[in-house]
Amino acid sequence: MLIAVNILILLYLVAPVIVVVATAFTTTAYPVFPPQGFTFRWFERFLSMPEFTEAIRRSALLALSSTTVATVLGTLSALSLVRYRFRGREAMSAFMLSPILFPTIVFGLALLVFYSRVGLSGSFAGLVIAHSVLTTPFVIRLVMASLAEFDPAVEEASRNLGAGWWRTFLQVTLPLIRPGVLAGAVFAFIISFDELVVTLFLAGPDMTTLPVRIYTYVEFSSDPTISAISTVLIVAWMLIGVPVYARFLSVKH
Amino acid sequence: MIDLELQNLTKTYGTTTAVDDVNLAVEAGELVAFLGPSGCGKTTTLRMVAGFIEPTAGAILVRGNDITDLKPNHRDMGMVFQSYALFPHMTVERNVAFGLVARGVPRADIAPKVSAALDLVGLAGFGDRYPKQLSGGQQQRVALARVLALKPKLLLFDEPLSNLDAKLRVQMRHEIRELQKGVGITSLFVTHDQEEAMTIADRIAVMNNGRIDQIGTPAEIYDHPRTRFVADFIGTSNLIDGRVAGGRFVSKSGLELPCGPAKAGDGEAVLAVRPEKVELADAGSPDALSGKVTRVTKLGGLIEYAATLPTGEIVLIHQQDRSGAKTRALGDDIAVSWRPEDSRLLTI
Ligand SMILES: Nc1ncnc2c1ncn2[C@@H]1O[C@H](COP(=O)(O)OP(=O)(O)OP(=O)(O)O)[C@@H](O)[C@H]1O
Ligand SMILES: [Mg+2]
Repeated sequence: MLIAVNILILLYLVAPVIVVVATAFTTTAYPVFPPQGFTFRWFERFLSMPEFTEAIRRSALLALSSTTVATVLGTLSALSLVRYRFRGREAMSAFMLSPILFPTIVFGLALLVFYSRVGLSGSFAGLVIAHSVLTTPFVIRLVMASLAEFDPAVEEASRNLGAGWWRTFLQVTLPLIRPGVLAGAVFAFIISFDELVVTLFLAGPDMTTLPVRIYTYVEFSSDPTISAISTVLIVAWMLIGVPVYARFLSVKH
Repeated sequence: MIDLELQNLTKTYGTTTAVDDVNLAVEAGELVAFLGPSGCGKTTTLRMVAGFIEPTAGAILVRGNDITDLKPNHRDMGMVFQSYALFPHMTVERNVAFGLVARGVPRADIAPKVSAALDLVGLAGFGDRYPKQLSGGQQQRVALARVLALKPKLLLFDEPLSNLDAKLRVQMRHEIRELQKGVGITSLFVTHDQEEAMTIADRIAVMNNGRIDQIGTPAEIYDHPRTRFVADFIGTSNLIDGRVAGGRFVSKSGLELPCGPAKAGDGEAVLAVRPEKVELADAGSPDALSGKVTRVTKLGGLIEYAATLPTGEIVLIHQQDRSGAKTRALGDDIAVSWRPEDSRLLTI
């Protein structure tokens, strides 16, 4: 009984994935399920469209850059929020996490106005900053959780044994919060790679990311190329993301 | 030679004074225990010595050098924590080597020093284990080895045995004392367990409300408490409020009681007598106060009687529970007395 329920839930969750992957191989000119015939045509078409390969490259670069910024900033601010007592710490903590609660459309609009003032509109740096702002709170949250788990006396022991601040951070603190840092980085990467709303506002014509490209493509055509792209991303995620997830972020410790 | 000196050490948090003008001089090789109730400032004092808390005022001197402003990693002190504070991601060996590496000890010297330290605490052969594969007592031994390997100027213990069970606590207490004597390193030992302080320390500093009320050997502290707080906190005492006039003590109810010399002169005072110093005799004995047994309690090898005097004072008496000793029952009329030199007159 329990197994049957679990299978149903699993089907409910993965059904869209199955449908998308299946339709990527159809010989019809539009996605149908179940697919008719079998062809790699849509994969070839996707690879032959530079606007897509270029967009994937840009999205990956953008996600990598913003993840790096978010992971460094998020880890440092989590450290100061958990370890140091200062006036307004609670308020600061709530404020640091607020972008999670902000409607992204409002945030995108605000950045658009702000960027045109400071001359960042349409630039890659502008996108990196925007994505970092969106993803840093997730890093802060996850690093704070792993910091709350370990005994601050361990860091004091390190100082007491003669290690300076930097050695203590590298050899004691960082190894112990690594699961939180990695989880934060994975989240940041996925959110950035997937981000559409804010990017739509900020990306100029020559800064198109993959989600934006897909979005504009499906406005005008409905061939299974999109299914083929989705399939490639799903496979890539299963090959890279899932092992990382299983190794470092599993529920049990 | 004085190894550690605390001069007017003070720490305030807003309006609370955690440590209040503490002065202390510790001899080389000596182990001084800080003993006191929860919240009296023991940990705060120790952490100021370690460099984790910045004093509001005062100075800390190690071998004559003012180290008050030194970072914790430059103080050359070994601290043992209540929570052990081992590095969970490192093996026992790497835990013990950590301080040696941080201090730039040459590579070739590290391994022998690590195994010597593990030998010392009886953990030879445990080097490859991780902390979570050890019992609490073993983990605390690793923590000891970790600081002993460095031969620091000072050892600091903050309730290191509180997380262990009662039997192991007693055993480890002796082990720590033996190790400390063996290496001869000056030590501060924080505890709220008076038995622990009594067995482990050369001298005990009894703290109360951020101040050191009295400092002395365990025997001095027990037999010659200086304040009401110390007499009350260490062991059990009969404490009777009254006045000293002309060298004689009269209780609030007007009873004249035998007392030792009054050092502080006339005025309000407290008379303190240990229950084991009180003599229990049959009613009507000469030079004794008559009373009635109002409570009988067996405390292990002791019997504790509470005798209520006609004037209302209650006197506790401890008697060895030996076969042949005369026992009393509830309601018996009895008489109590003590030798004047066994009582102490304390200021309030
Ligand atoms: N960071 C702090 N902020 C405010 N007050 C503090 C702080 N640290 C300690 N105190 C206060 O200072 C006093 C002394 O604390 P301390 O930890 O030194 O006590 P302790 O003697 O070690 O007690 P225990 O036996 O419970 O460990 C306490 O009243 C405590 O509430
Ligand atoms: Mg304490």
